[in-house]
This record gives sequence, structure tokens and C-alpha cells, in this order.
Amino acid sequence: MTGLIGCRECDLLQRPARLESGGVALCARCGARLYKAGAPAQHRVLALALASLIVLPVANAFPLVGLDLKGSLIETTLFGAARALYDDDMRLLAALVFATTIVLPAAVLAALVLAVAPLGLGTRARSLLLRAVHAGMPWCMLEVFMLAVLVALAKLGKMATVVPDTAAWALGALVVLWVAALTALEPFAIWKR
Amino acid sequence: MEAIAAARGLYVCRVCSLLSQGAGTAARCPRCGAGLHFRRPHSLARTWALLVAAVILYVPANVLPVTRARWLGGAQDDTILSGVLYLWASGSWPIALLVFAASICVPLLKMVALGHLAVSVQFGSSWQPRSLARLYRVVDVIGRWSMLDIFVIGILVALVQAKGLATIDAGPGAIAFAAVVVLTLLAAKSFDPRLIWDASRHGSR
Repeated sequence: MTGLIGCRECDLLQRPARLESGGVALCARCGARLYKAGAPAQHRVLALALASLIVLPVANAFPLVGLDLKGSLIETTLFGAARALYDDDMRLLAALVFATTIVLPAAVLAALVLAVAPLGLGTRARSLLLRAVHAGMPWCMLEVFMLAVLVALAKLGKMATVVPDTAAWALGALVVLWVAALTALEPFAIWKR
Repeated sequence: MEAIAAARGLYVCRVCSLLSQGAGTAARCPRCGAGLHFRRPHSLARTWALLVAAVILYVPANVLPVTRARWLGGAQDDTILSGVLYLWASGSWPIALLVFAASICVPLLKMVALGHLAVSVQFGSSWQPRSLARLYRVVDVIGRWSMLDIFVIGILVALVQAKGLATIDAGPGAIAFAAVVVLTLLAAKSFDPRLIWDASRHGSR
């Protein structure tokens, strides 16, 4: 195991190359991303994750979009989509939407903050948290939901006046911060310490 | 000796990339504690099972209505495809293209690609493993976007609830479609890309 690294996607053993700053090492055989150059960007991950954690309640608490249907305004929140499906007797579907847009983003974000914040947590606890982040990440679908808001606006725009509300802007900001935090999170770098 | 980790009895951690010599049957990564496997257990069988289930459910997902709209003096059931056609006809063709890509192209592409990967590994194909590896990564990245229509349905149902004026309800097709999305996501997760390279090695010699 003398200084070798293994590719996670094709199992090839190879010698890590020396990278220029900002460079990314790819597997010589399958082209998968191996690691990124530079010092661990933990402080950046923490900043972005904390910012996301501040915006997240705003995106959840305020109305997302309003529909002006002949004078009567109907508003919905992020939770409203899951709630409406539940009331529609689509329990499983409601659970899926609830999990992917509310529970998991909040849980993964909280786990990420706890894992990278200098809280004096032991290595075991931090590893557990980072593994939870790794497992939950693919099921957080806020950015897909944001696009869905745009599609819904386009669908309803022809028959009624639709107005994006506070939470829509918060959701937009949240998605940007969220994606930036996950991009800065280099699993290899965090574990190198 | 070949430079394959598993061939030398070394594990590559799928979470933190650490190279280690596991001990015993239930090996764990010494750095992050994730379970270690040379290859994901029953990867191919799981992928097939989830993929076949997704293909079967793809039929009701497209035939059954995903939304049922009612308004004063009218009602309309929409399937995934008729929803896209409506957007196209109403002039919002950029959005129509987007939904077409996310709801029709992505699920189809995913199932065809996963089928292709599974067949290649099953029959030890040595055909361009690098392209297959890239195909796998594409499937892994784009898969989530087919949830788009499920969220759109949720938002529509939540917003259009003016009793007596207009309402939109979710139809049975939505459940089938969500199942297709989740099953293909799980199928992609259970497929072990390292099998592509094992298959190409055994196939070419």
C-alpha cells in the first residue's frame, strides 16, 4: 500500500499524481474523479453550509407561490406540495416528496454542519455524520423542486395570475448555496486529515 | 501482479477512498467506518430486479393519468406525454422541452443504459469499457431530474384547490411514475461499476 490509491469506480491501483492548484486527478483507466488539488476547503464548506442552514427555514416558512384565481388568492408553501398529495390520498407520493424536499435536505445539512464545524467531536462521530451526508445527498432534490416551481408557473400562467413569493427567492438562494457547499465538500480532502 | 485492488486483497472504501486490508467477513473501513466489499454483493441480480420492476411500471406510468383537472363545465385527465403536448401547444416550448427531457428522455435513457450495462456485465462484453463507465456516470447524475414531474404535480395540486371553481388532483399514473423514478435510482445505486472492468478483463482473454 506504499503511497498507492485505488479508484472507487474501477478498482485500479495507481500512484497519485502531483497536481497544479485547482487541478483534478482522474482515474487513468475509467476516467472517474479521484481527488482535487489543494488544502481541504473545510472552512468554505462550513460557511456555505451555515448560510444554507439560515436560508432553509425561510424557504420553508414563507409562501412559495400564490395563484390569483378570479380574485381569490391561494398560496402554497414548500410543505404544501407534500401536504396536498397527502390530502389527495397519495400517501406514498406525499412521503416521497416530503422526504426529498424537506426532511432529507434539513437532516443532511445539519449533519454536514456538525461534521465540519470545530465542535470537538470525535473522529468516530464525525465519520458517522459524513457517511450520513454521503448516503443522504443523492436523495435531496431541492434543485429539482426549484425547477418544478418554474414549470408549474408556466403551466398555470395561461389561466391565472401566478406570483412567486418570498420562499421562491429563498429557495433559489438555498439551491445556489447548497450546490456550492457540496461542490466544495471534497470527501477525500476531509478524510485526509 | 495486476494493479487491481481486489486482486491484491485490498479494499477501496466507496465512501472515503481509503485503501485498506480488511479483516474477516464484515470488513469496515478503518478511517470512516463504511462497510467494505470487493464488489457490491449481488450487484447484478439487484440491478436486474429493480430494472425489470421499473420497466413494468413504466407502462402504467405513461398510460394512466397523472393529473385530473376539473373546472366549471369541464374536466381533463392528463398523462405525462399529454402534459408535455399541452405545454408545447400553449406556446411555452422551452418549458415543454425541459419537461420532455426530464420526464420522457431521462427515464427511457436510464432504463436503456442500465439494461445495456447489465447485459454487458452479464455476458462479459469487452466492448469499450471506458464508454460504459462514462455511461454509468451519466445515468447516476441525470437520474434525479425525472422527479421533476412529481414535484410539478404536487405544486399544481396544492395551488389549484378552488372548490367549485377549479381543482387539480393527482392521478394513479403519478404513483407509477414516481415508482419508476425511485426504482431506476436504486438500480443505478446497486450497480457496481467495477464489474464493467472485471467483465472486460475476462471477456478479452
